[in-house]
Amino acid sequence: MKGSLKSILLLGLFLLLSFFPFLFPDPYLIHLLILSFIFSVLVSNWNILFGYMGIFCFGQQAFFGIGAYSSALLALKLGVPVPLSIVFGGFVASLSSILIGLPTLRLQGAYVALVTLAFAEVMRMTCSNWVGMTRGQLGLTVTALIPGAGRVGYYYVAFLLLLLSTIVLLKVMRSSFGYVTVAIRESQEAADSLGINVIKYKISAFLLSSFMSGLAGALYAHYIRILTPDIMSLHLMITILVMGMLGGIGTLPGPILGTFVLTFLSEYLRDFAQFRFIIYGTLIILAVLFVPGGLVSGLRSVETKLKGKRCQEGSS
Amino acid sequence: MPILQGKGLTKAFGGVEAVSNLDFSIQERAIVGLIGPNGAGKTTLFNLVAGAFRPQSGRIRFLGEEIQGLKPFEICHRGIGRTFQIVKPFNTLTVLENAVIGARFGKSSKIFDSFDPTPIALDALEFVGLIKEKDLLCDNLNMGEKKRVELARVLATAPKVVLLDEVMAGLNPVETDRVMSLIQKMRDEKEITVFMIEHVMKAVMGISDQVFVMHHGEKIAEGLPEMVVKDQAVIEAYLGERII
Ligand SMILES: Nc1ncnc2c1ncn2[C@@H]1O[C@H](COP(=O)(O)OP(=O)(O)OP(=O)(O)O)[C@@H](O)[C@H]1O
Ligand SMILES: [Mg+2]
Repeated sequence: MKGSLKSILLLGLFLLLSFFPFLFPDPYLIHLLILSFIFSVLVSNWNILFGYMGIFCFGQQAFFGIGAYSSALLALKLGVPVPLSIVFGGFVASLSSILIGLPTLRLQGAYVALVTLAFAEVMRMTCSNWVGMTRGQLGLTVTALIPGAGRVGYYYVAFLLLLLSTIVLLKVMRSSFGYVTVAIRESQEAADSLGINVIKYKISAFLLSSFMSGLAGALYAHYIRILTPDIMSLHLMITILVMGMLGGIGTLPGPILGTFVLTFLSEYLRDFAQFRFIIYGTLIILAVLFVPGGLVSGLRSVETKLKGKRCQEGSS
Repeated sequence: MPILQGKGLTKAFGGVEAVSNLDFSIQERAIVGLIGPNGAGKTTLFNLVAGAFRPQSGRIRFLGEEIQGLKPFEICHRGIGRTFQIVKPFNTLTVLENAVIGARFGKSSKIFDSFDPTPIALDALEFVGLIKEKDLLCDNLNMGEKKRVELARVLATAPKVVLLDEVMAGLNPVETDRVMSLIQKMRDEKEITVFMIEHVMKAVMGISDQVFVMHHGEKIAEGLPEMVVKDQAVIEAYLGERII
């Protein structure tokens, strides 16, 4: 009963999103959904490192930015077709994750946070100062996905990317890799002593997470079409953190839920833009205090309560 | 031929040699106790054998092959399992999932492998008496149960030798007896060689075939349990502490 209700809801949601641009041809709503799709990919893949493996990665914005710049430059300077250059952006981000992944393998906790954060800042400064290549703060004007592509085109590409990322993550986390990640988070030493090659799997997680984040960043750049080094700013990382914590880290639906809620919320709170980080901060504190597992755990406890009620009704 | 053997093992932290030019040798299917005062270097010796630390000098032979320098997961795949002095269960996983991890990765670290580790894990839980608790989260277990989860997990890796670091510390007398008979059963039914660090003298004296005594990183005595406790060097090492 329960399971089928859930699948019906999910199917409904899938159909709604599949036909959304035709049902509600409101460019502004479509824009918000595109952003939600792209950021869902980013937050979900950060969650693999942070939520599942317990790696304190605070440099995810770098993978997003590296994907964006690699793809934008490749398309701009060499005229590579954009769909190809986006995939290339994913690979470059993935490669860069080896640079950042290796030094963090032997570190723990706060040190990992510092190293990853520093890495992202170095990347941002590089893009900012390498004016000959990136035009620095002036920014690049980025090629369109396909010449003349409209909003609806971007909508479907972003939607597909989120589907792809979600299917990959589902597949991977339901394989024994899911156990590996949690085992490493709970005790690296114990995992190692039970035959798990911790280093190999940490690197695999970095490769996957940064590849997907790089794809998301590249698509974002070709959609917004203006690219400045600010794409790699700490603000983005804080946003990722809030989206993840709000929805529930260490779960698959959590980051997606959190991203959608925050993307729409921050649009409706636009008038208070200058207070954005105060609002974010408050949200985090409230989430940690009242729903420590995020919205997903809140929903789950409501679900079990409803279920309990139904059982009671059934038995009486 | 001994199943596990160390020669000239040394490991220093800063200037202090926690393990100092130490030799040991363990026969197949023996239960060997390792005792010594606090800070003697017992856990460090286990960490050397299990691959958590690399010895600064010396060799470790297991089944005739040298294994020093291998990574912990490789040592596990070869057939040496371990538990931890401070228990390290996977708290957010269930008891069964903890054992499944041992069964799944104990012999190979590959992810996409088709065999089903659950029966092996269930066997291990049955063996340590945690079948009824299999769906509980480890977080909700008491200390005795957590220690048995660690035993089940390591048994699920199908080891030939297990290194048990104070599995009886913090247990009440009933639980202690239970773990003692478990260890004997491991040797008798599963033919596992047991190397165990233990402060609980009743256990050391009760089930060990042989006892090693460490002090300041060196092995100061070895032999039958009842002989070792009468040894003059051992009594001096424990001066001020009661052994029995
Ligand atoms: N990781 C480490 N870093 C630095 N020093 C260490 C480390 N591990 C152990 N030591 C030192 O090595 C010495 C031996 O420690 P070890 O834990 O091996 O003793 P032990 O015999 O297991 O003692 P206990 O009975 O208290 O468990 C101690 O002086 C300890 O402080
Ligand atoms: Mg110790």
